[in-house]
Amino acid sequence: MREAIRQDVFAVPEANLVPAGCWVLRKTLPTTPDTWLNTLLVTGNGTDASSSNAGDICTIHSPELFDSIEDGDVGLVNGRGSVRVILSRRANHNTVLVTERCDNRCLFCSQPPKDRNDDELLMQAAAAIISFAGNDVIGVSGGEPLLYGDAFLRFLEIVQTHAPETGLHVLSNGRAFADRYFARAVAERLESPVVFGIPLYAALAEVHDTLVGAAGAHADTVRGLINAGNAGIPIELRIIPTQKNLQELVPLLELALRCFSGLQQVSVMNLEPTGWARANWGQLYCDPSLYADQLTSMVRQAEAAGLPIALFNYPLCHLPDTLHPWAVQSISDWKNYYPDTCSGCTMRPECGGFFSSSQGQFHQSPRIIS
Amino acid sequence: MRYLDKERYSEWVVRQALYWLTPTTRWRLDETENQWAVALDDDSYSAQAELDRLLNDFLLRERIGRRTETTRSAIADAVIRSIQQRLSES
Amino acid sequence: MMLPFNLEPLSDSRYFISNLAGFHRVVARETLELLAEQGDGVLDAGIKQDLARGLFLADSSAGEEAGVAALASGYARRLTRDLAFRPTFMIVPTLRCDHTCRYCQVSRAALGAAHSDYDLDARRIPQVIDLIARLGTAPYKLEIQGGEPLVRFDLVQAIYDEAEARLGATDFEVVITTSLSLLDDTILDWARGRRVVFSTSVDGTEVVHNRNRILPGDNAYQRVKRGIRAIQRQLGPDRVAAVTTVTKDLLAHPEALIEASQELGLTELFVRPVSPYGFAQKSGTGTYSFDDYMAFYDRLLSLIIAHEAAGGQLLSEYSGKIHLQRVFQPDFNGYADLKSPSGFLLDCVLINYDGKVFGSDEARMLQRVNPELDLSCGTVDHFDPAANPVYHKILKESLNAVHPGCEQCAYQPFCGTDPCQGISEQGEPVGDKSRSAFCQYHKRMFSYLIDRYYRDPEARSVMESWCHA
Ligand code: SF4
Ligand code: SF4
Ligand code: SF4
Ligand code: SF4
Repeated sequence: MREAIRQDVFAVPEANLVPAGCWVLRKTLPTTPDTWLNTLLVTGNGTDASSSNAGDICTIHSPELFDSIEDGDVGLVNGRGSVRVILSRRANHNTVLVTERCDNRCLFCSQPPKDRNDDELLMQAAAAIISFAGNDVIGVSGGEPLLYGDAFLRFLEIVQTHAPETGLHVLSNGRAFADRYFARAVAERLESPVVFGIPLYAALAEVHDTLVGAAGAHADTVRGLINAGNAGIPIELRIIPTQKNLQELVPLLELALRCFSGLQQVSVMNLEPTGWARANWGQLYCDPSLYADQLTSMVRQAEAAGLPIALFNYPLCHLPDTLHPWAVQSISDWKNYYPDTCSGCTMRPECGGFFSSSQGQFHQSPRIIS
Repeated sequence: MRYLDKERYSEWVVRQALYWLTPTTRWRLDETENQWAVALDDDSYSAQAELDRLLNDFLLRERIGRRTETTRSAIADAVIRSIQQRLSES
Repeated sequence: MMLPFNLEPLSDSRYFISNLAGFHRVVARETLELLAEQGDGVLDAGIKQDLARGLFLADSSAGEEAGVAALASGYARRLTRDLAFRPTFMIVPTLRCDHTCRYCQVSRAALGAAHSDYDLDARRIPQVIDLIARLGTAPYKLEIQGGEPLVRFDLVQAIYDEAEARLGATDFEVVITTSLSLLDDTILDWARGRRVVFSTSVDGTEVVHNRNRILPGDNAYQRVKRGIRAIQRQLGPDRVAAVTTVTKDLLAHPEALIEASQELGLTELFVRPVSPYGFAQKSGTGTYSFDDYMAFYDRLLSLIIAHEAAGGQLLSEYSGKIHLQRVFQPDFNGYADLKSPSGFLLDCVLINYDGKVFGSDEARMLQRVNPELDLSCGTVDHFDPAANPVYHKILKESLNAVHPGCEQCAYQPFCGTDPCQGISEQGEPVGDKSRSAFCQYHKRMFSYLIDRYYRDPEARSVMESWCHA
């Protein structure tokens, strides 16, 4: 097993006595009671484990968990003896999942959609974000969060009212914004900094539609991006290069630069071997050296237009030196690792390394240059 | 004098071509029932060739334009909407 | 399904096509004939995809709807971008000049003319900078024009000091447009620690230069050479740039320009045809056709390519570069002439020696030859473009997409308008494009550059390095 840098799941046998769901993890009893989620008091070695399970407060003993959290983190108890820390003050990035439903079927979806109704997740996520009350950005992902329509508008209102310091980064396929009025409605509710990360994979409809497994998706997302941008919604445009869209990368960026407004950043992301991407790896993954020229041209165009561009999830040794300034050390801290070969590498402090999910057939070797 | 069939050359094509012929030569346009009659002050081969080139290109523009007429107006509407929206945002 | 686009012929039956969002392609006439005749169904799959990526075609009705939205959004984006008010502030401290150039565009005043008639009143400088502070935002771009501004170096210094005090020490940059004949150690010392660059004129080698740029009793070329060298040595190579007015004498000798740039250590050329303003036309030196000019430009580009191929340093040419950037670089609007709405007033606020304010350098030149017109937008203490109906008319009609002639033109998304040139040539800002020097020049530049870019790989790589430098 390759060690990821930060662990987020903890086996706590006595947690199967705690009702499943989201809890505020406390190291000491809060002076004002938690209101949006119930309190789970975590005790470690040397803490007084005498607190009662009175009222809504449950207590578990786990020195390991105790040492891994800060007071006020949010954990998800699965009812089968484990606790996953979903919002952590020690993480470099936190994300909440609001639904597993989606109107796309991306060949590389890391969170393969399920059709069952999971409406309860949205308000649970709101409660988690509000309880956490952080002042960093929290990722909101799915599935497709905007499938909630009006309920999503209420989610925005509630979160922004009760956690005004928390910024949101919403990952959406953007199709819902094809409805101009919905885009406007969302725009009107943006108070704290909220950015929508919206992927577009091709200038050509057929290529995008194939990659996302949905006919008509391209037309929706293109119109969605236009409407959202015109309505004033800040957008991060996300592009994942694969074997199927290499010809599209440069034209896609031109489309973005010429036609979309409100772009804050373009993010080019190396394919991550999780979810369906693992099953389709052979027909999707593309060695970055095969599209280094396209990346260079994209970086040039974006820079010339004054639009920030960043390359995510690329081990530095997989990119030409000239692109290193745009590579971002980005893989979430519980997802990355450095194989042994990296140990002598001088670029390691700036390098994001590899996904801990890239093992076996999914692993691309580091290429030590110096 | 050049005679151009009205069947083939619309008034738009002829007028556009002549507009851009002005730097090459002065011209006069008359018409009969079925034809346009174009008189060029400079009747040289190169002026005639320039007129032909212009007529040809405007015929092409006209034919392509006809296929996209409705989208052109759809775009105009959308532009106005989008500019209005931008202005109301800023 | 086809989406709307415009077309212009290039060489060899190829066409340049472009759409409202500013995408372009170069296609064969047969492709266009097929499209006109039978629509896109019959096209080769590769061509079809290429055209669809540029929003020339859509593959379905949903795609058509998205295509329409994207074209409209791209167009609106272009307009809003070109509409931004980010002017260069030009200041004319004096109209007096030690040169008597044959093509002088600004109808200079004699060196000995009365100061009170042709120099800026030093007491007005605080007002000038005040106007700039009110109209602009940091970083401010100031350009000191003439006449010969160094005739009144004291005013240049005073303007700089005032700007430093009012605009913030690092929030502005000053370009001094000068023949460099008066450059001396005092000026160099002054410029050393300041945010000042010099823009000068070099019209070719010594013979060609001196035939047009005349410094009575002295050698203009030797002066400018000495000046450029001194700046390069003492302040650095990036502190001086040169523009070239292509006179009839240079027309047959593009190599003279390469030679001169070698001799002067300049790597960026900026060539322009003799301007149609002011006295240039009347003097008889500037009369050549645009075909002649393009033949010159073609030879110049070939010389630049050959020079580089022979191991010489890459020379760039700024006029070509901005035309290419307009086409290839989304969002590029760094050149007042190539903008629609035009750069008039949006890109330039010129404060003349007499305190009058103009919306472009051309406007003040036009004013000078047409004293009966009022082309100003007020004065330093009373800036008011709304008060002059000419400004209203110019701004209202500065959108080339609706100009007859431009409406059909495939260069329209990249081109611009020059209302002053329209007024000067035809008495009104829009004018008949077929007779407009502006149109003739820019249309030829666009089609020449694009044609060569797509036909000649060597030229293409040189042009690419111009744009990416
Ligand atoms: S849009 Fe694609 S990647 Fe995102 S949740 Fe839906 S199927 Fe998965
Ligand atoms: S060898 Fe390892 S640390 Fe070095 S650049 Fe490659 S992946 Fe990064
Ligand atoms: S240096 Fe400039 S202002 Fe002076 S005469 Fe020559 S062109 Fe005119
Ligand atoms: S001025 Fe001439 S080249 Fe420019 S857009 Fe108009 S017609 Fe085309």
